[in-house]
Order: sequence, then structure tokens, then C-alpha cells
Amino acid sequence: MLAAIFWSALATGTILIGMALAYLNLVSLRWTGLIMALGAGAIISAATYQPVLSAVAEVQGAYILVGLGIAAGALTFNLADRWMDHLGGADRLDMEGAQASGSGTGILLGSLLDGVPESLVLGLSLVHSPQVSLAFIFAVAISNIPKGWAAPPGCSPAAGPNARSPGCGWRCVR
Amino acid sequence: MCALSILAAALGYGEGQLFSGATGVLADAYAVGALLVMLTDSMILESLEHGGRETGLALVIGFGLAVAVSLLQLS
Repeated sequence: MLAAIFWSALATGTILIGMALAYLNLVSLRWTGLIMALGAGAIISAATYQPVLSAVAEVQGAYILVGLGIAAGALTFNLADRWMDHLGGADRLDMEGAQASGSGTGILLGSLLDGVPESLVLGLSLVHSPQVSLAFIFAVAISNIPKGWAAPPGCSPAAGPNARSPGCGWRCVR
Repeated sequence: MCALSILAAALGYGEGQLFSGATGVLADAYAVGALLVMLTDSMILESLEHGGRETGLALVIGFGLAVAVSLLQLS
């Protein structure tokens, strides 16, 4: 349990680095997009190799179950995502501040939803294997850097000094 | 956000202890399915919007880096 908390804190802590970079206005929006792509690629490899291969190895021939499991997870997230968009969180990751048009609660819930699958994979993988997947920690850590940007759009210098939106406070928190 | 992610990881850990063996790895598969949908829907879409033409290249570099980290850990 402690290990799960520790690794998750380490992997999501980089969101603070992203916030700092956004605040200092050091990196352009384009590089943010590229870093996010880098993180996405890392997650694809880290999340599919170890959990999926170990699942395939463990079910002893009942491969259809693994497929059904993946499909069920995908459908669940899709439905949850649809629900969040309905609540107004559709533009939550928009770095240019379009999320101001969504409802505060919708964006907050949507952002939390985005973080759930990776945290689940992290926590689950720690139970089943004694060793943490460094590749996955690395992947989540990278992909969280740009999320620090997307977090405080109204608060970032790029949005201008008078761009503070009502939802700014809690978005900085997340 | 960080605190809630940590909470979710702890939750995943507790959940993992409920299902052991074959059920446990199926829970893994479930989480991976959700993760891949999140990647496509949110992350790749957003990075493509800002990263431009080189987004795909950055994604492949990330893929390669994670494979390298996996191999380093295995060896």
C-alpha cells in the first residue's frame, strides 16, 4: 500500500514541474504538445507490454477473457467520458484556455477521470508483481508534465494578466 | 489532482488484493483498456493540436524510450 502511494506520488508529482514551467513561461505550446506525445507513446508501450503480456501468460489459454477485459475497460471509460463531457468538461485539456467555456465541476471531474486509469494500472501492477514497472512510472511522469500546463489556463502568463477566470483557484490546485 | 491520483493508486492496490491470480490480471486488462481510450481521446488529440506534424515522431520516441526502460529493468 505504501509503495503504491509512494510511486503514484512520484509519477504525478511532475505535474508540479509542468506548472512551474508554465508559470515561468519557459516552454512554448508546441513543445508542450510534443512532450505530451512523448508521454503518450511511453504509456502505450509501458501499459501494454507488462500488464497485457502477464495477463495473457496467466489466463492459460483463455485469451478471450483478456480481450473481454480490455474491451470492458474501454467501454467503461468511454461511457464515463461521455458523461463528463455532458457535464461540461469536454475542453479540459485545452492549453489555450478554452476550458473556461466548460463548467468548473465538469472540467474537474473530467480531469480526475483522465487520471484514474493510469493510477489503477499502477496500483494493480504493484500487487501482482513485486517489482514496480519503472517504464510505467517513467511514462506517467512524462505525460504528467504537460498536464501542469493545461491545469491553470486562466492563471498562466500566456493568458494575459487580466485573464483570471472564476475557476482559476481550484484549477491551480489540481 | 495529485492527492486523488495517489488515492486511486491505493484504491487500485486494494482492489488488486481482492482479485488474485487470473481475476487479478483481468483487472489489469480492464484498466489498460480504459487507459488506451483515455490516451486516444484526450492526450493524443490534444498533443496533435499543438505539436504539429512532428507529434507522431515524438510519440514513437516515447514508445522507444519506455521499451528501453523496460529492457533495462528486465536485464
